[in-house]
Amino acid sequence: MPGIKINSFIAPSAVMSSFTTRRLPPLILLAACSLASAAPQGEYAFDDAQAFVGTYCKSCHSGKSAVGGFNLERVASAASLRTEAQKWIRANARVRNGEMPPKGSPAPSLDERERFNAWAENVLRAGACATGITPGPAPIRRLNRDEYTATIRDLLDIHLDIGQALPADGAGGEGFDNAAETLFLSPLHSEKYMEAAKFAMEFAARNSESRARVLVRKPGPGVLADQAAREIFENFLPRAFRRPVRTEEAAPYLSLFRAAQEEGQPFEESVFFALRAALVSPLFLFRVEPQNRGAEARPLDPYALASRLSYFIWGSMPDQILFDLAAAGKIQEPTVLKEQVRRMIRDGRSLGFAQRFTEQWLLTRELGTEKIPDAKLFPSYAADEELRSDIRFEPILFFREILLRDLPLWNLLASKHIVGNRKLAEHYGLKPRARQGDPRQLRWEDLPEGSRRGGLLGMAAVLAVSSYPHRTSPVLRGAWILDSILGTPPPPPPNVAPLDEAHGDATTKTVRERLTQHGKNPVCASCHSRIDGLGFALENYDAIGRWRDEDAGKPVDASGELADGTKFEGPEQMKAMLLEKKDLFIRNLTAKMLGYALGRRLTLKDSCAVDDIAAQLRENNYSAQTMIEAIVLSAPFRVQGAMPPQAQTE
Amino acid sequence: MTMRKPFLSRRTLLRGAGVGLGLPWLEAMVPVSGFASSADPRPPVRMAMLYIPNGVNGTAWRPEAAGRDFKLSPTLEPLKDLKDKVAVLSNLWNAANEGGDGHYAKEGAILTCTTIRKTSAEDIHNGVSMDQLAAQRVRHLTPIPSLELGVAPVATGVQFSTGYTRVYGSHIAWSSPTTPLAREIDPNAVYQRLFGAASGRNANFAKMDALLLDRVLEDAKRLRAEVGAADRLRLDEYMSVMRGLEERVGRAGNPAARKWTARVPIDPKAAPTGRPKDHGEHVRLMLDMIAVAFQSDATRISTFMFGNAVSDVNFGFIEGVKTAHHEASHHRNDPDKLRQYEIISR
Repeated sequence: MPGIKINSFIAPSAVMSSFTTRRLPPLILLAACSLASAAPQGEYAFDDAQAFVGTYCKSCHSGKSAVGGFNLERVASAASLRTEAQKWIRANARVRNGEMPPKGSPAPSLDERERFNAWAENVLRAGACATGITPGPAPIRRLNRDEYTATIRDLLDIHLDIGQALPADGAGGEGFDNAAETLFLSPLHSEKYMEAAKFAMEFAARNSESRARVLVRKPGPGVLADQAAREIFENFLPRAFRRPVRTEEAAPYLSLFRAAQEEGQPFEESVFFALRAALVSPLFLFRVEPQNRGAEARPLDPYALASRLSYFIWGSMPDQILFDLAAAGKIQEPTVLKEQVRRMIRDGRSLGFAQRFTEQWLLTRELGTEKIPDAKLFPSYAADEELRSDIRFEPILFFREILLRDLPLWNLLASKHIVGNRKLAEHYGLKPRARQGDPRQLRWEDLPEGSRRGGLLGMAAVLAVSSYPHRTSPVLRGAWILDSILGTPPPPPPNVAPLDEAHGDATTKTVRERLTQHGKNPVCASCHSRIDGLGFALENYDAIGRWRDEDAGKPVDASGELADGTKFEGPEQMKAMLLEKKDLFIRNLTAKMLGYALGRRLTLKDSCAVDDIAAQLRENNYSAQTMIEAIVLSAPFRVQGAMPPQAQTE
Repeated sequence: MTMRKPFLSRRTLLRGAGVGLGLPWLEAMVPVSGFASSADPRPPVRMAMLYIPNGVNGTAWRPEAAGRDFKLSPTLEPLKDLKDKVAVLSNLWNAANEGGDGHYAKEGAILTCTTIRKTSAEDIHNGVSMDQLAAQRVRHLTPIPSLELGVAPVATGVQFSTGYTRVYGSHIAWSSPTTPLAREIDPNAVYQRLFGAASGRNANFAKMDALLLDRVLEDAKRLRAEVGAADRLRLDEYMSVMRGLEERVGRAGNPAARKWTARVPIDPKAAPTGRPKDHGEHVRLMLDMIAVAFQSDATRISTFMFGNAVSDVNFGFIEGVKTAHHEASHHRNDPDKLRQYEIISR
């Protein structure tokens, strides 16, 4: 490829800008409780935290024999938390999850717990952010199944869903299947990678576009087979490994070529055999970034940045433009990055990004696998494959349109638009619009007044995935909103006998009547008072998202109330309430997106970057492209921290 | 489940295979046919662990009376023809998962008998599962070390309320505390894999593959020297699975190194077509794959997952059930739900 030459692996000296020194605006107080908790946010201070710890923790965690070596007597001021930040992050999570104090010990109320959690997190984060935003770890990462498929497609110019033969990947980090930590390798992978490489190369050998891409030199008069093969590898390997390739790295592939020739294989077969090895090499299968062995953070290697960009927005390898910018040493320039982000979003490959991100963020990927609406109760849904597909694609395309049109991100909560077609309009009880073209095509449209739709919470995919197969569940929907929309998942239920929503005489009682039992038990009520109310507001949507005015023969009561007394009725009022909390939503979305972009779990330091990006979004009318740009320009994305010395040795 | 349509001819598939409950007398199911030509006349010992998510209705599961003359329970009643070959173990208990919240603490550790670490991923930790301990002993004897099967794709995401990655609920086979083994869910792909493995490859093919694997292992070694300690673990994982493949390729290409004998050879024409939509049919086919694998001696160790932990498969297709699995499992002693739970387990 022009731009990258063998033996020219010198990182262009990029300009070190002031990422690491940027100071943050004063921290916005953790908003987690503002929606949910009835307790006043008030002046929770160190003394309150000390009292909490004294009452609930110190009987075990003090003195020489402090359990877990965690001695709370050493905590003299808020700053003490920062000297043991890692321990406190864990301790705080255990308190939040109700694991601490352990069973049998006096337990704090939910409000006490949350106020302590919010205070501790705030102290820790303020400590972490005071030193500026610094990048977290960047572990090597196997290409996941989707990335593998797309990379082979772009590398060889073949259109082939080759990854379908590979096992599916699990997910971790912020909930995505590109998390470095959960991209394991099994013996099954080794077989599948071998087979897929063989299949891809055999396919490429018969495909004219692919041959033109790969076989850049033919042996002939004056060109020895060896020389032609060398040129082919010099062209192919840097693209396959997504960085310049040193001579000594390329030489063994030439030996493979020669070995095949000695076995009597013709020229082309020998070339494709050697290239097959490249597709099984860890240099192809893993994304590897050159280590920073210096003492200071530094701008990320330009080729590594090109890959981070392309795997973020395209889920595939960099194209020639990105490679050229890396080679020219320009890719770290903010104006260049911004321009590239906009170009990449416009490219068709960003559709896959919209799909992967949206479906994993909203959990709608489970629709059709783990979650299948009951075929007997919803025959029209079960029988109509087109409708099912439209429902699944609606949130994906809606998200992508917001990105393409650079609209404010709160459109995801409430919008005057929809991505629709005739089938969806019927499903939603809307009057289909007269329009040109294929009525099946999903398109961006204005919603009529009083449509009861607009935004994720009116979408069938979301409403179905947060229901049971045969009925709605205000609990599941409420928990879904707290988790996916607001980023404040409810803690796990304590070990009390679960209240079954369908318990009792299911034919006469509405779900609401059954759920009132939550209010009777104070242990249940502490959390369900914030979960159920949100879900009730969506009761007018059935388990596949259709509007209904009656449930179990009675009029739907869609009124909800939060623990703090905020009352609302029906989806429109709830959306208005959520819009007032949009900063909470935006912060959650930003954290999810940064976690996706980095392919790992966010650290405390990363949360400083999230705050910073969320602040930029507020200043820029929450513009969708600003979010992507700000993430790409953030320190965690384009700066590489120094490797801690202990990690360098065996 | 009522839809039992054997897709394979009886020549290649034993009826009734695949219901072994993971107990070690599976070999009893294998007839000594004309194909058995191994020097050792005893059938190999195999192990299949079949996992049911969300537990079972214990009252309907536990048989009456202990010892040989026990009475099959309502859930186990379909095994009546094989009763002499069935043993039900009760009172097994994983003390290490007591107190862990939700499903994952229990289901993720079902074959490891340990405490899984609560994490969204970065420091995932389970134990080595019992099937893998067995596989470590016998994997050199067969072309595939062990077979991990299921019907549902791996559940992605993190369960944020409990803080566990769903990786724990999607894998019961762990080759190391940090490595869950990938599962296959497409019966056709499994069949092709078994056929390829059991029939071996020609020597020249194996030689070229070995060359190729040598090459990529060299890349891995070079790379390993350049990365930090945490990343080395990933590359070790890579080298371990690639070396394993290299060994297997080597053995397959060398008839003298073949230690396995197919009791029933695999007929490539009997391959199932793709992944059935019907849940019961899908389960049936995957269980058939275990039988095929054992008969062809492609492997001797297998695990199968009827679903992921917290699986909410809608079992409405069975007469008398109108709920999904996870929901029925939280029955709260409601007789109607308990009955449905029992039917699903059966």
